[in-house]
Amino acid sequence: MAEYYTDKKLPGVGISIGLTRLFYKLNELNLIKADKNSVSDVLIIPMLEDLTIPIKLATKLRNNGVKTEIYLNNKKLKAKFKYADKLKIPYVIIIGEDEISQNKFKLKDMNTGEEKEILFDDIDSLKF
Amino acid sequence: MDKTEPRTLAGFMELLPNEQILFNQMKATIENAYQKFGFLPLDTPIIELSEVLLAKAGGETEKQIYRFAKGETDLSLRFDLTVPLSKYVAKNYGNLSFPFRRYQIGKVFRGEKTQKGRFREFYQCDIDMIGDGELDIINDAELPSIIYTIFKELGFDYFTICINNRKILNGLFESIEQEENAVEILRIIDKIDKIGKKAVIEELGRVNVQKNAIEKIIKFIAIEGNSDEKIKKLENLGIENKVYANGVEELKQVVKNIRLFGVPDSNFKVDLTIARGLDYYTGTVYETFLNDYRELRKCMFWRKI
Repeated sequence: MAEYYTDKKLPGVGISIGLTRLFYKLNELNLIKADKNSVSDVLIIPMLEDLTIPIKLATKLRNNGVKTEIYLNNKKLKAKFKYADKLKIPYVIIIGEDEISQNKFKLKDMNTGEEKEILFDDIDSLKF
Repeated sequence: MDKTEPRTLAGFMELLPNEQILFNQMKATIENAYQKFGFLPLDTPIIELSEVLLAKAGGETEKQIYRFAKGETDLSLRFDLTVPLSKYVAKNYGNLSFPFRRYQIGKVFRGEKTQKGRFREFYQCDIDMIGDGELDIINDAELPSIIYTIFKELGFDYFTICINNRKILNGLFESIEQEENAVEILRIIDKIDKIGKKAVIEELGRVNVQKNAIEKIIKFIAIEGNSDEKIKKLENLGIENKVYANGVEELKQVVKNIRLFGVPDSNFKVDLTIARGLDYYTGTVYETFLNDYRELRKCMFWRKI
């Protein structure tokens, strides 16, 4: 190769994967499923106006390598859950005044519906 | 206010978030596999000087180039990642360590006729090994093991990597003095499933292939069996030709080494029918397809450069 640019002899061997076409074909043949709607592991739903604690919690989780999203807009709780549902985010964390006063938050597994209360101090042991 | 209709050019892929997530996962799988085998990353510009990019091009390729002027400068969008690699290696020869093993994943552009499943902008995921002066045949065997790794990690189990060596066919034609007739002969023997052996023999006779040459061709295309059996039969075909012998020996080496790299026999085979038409290939040729979906082989190209 490269004989158009140099006199050096540079033999080569290689592969080229046409990813766009491969993806298109696999999708068309239903051999792959685009069933992930979000890259987030967890969505934090704040139930209070002061976002200090939810943002701190998000930062902590992100530093632990958890892909974390906060629902930052002031909507009804139902709309917030609908968002998590539509994007199929696997976990939701709910924080309100009550939780904060007890130094904990609620963690909901969106697949099973199971809810757990987690102490802020235990956050490092959380696995997603 | 008049609104402009939001639309995307035909032949340009644009995905919804869920599809893009999956696409990116596949891209990451490929990139991880390339890195796992120690290939170096490279990112060359999408725009190059036309003079540089088109040094070699001609015919069909040249017609598909996106080419434009910016001020006085004649520019083109890259149409593959191989030409930029050639330029890069020639330009940086003194600063690279050989064999130079690089991967590059990026978009390339070809103004092909638009039709379903054909793209004008598309991703190529390339790996190449470049030798300084020479490159040992064992390199040809590492590539299938990379493809094997990628397909496994993409979640596929039933796929076949087909291997052949162009020198075998070239040597066969040389030995029966039919190099000039090669394209015509290949066209005829490709029809054997459709028209049968007798009709193939007749047609070969009609293009003036001698009887003993026809016999050799028929014996050659009748070769069947597993990879080792095929190689044995190739060796015992009685063809006295250096190029042929060299091709068979290379194929034997590649098969031996593919196993060494851990690709199971269920995922590769010697297939003497592949890449017959591609006369610019000189050595090992490959094709990969999912066992039930042969059409996917068009997504994967292998080459000697």
